[in-house]
Amino acid sequence: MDRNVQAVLRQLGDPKDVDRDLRSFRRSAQVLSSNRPRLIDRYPKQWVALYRGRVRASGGTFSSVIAEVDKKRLPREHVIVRFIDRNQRTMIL
Amino acid sequence: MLRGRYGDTSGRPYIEGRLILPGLKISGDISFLIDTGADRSLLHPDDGIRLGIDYAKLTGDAESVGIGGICHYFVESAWLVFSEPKRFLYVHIIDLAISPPAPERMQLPSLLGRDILDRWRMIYHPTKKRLTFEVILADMTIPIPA
Repeated sequence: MDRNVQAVLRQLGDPKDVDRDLRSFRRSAQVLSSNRPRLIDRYPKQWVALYRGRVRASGGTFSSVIAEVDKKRLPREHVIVRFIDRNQRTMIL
Repeated sequence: MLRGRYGDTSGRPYIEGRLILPGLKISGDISFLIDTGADRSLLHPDDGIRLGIDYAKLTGDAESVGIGGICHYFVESAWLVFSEPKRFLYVHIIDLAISPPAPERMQLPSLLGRDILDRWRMIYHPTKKRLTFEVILADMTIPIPA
């Protein structure tokens, strides 16, 4: 097997685990979207962290939410962190 | 086929994938904004800080021009992995632009640019809430065992 392929597979881990993790992450992202009106009411102008489809941390700053994620020993790599803005800003990148 | 999603309030198109930075031994999941106007995929600070990137260790440098003017970015070899659930993982190897942390760049989603999108065929149909991608070319396609 090509050395690059071996390196990718080694760092990637079990493909089934990657697929499962990504499906879980995607579900969290979709929950964030579909619950967004409710989140706007509950967490206006706050940062929230979602893990496995639930809000697990919230706060006024990005760093405070990351600190709470760490304190709860949530895996940062599978957490979605978003700012809940009541006034949707127009984004032109 | 890969499936994306639309933000319910923003209507922005997103897709989730796994980012691996082999040189930094960092990996994590990212919700990418689909951006056909971006020549290159870009990691913004919200995601970079969350994944624990040590920005002092980054070396590559690239210049880009956008609405905000000319910006400098780090460049790092990266693998982006997208899953077709229970079927395949598609691995793309790219040079990823990494935005240095800055207050004005917080709250910006990471971007999936044409370095990836040029290898896919996209169906973008917001009124039907349909956002799908067919992978035409990947650096590696890994079957997911049953």
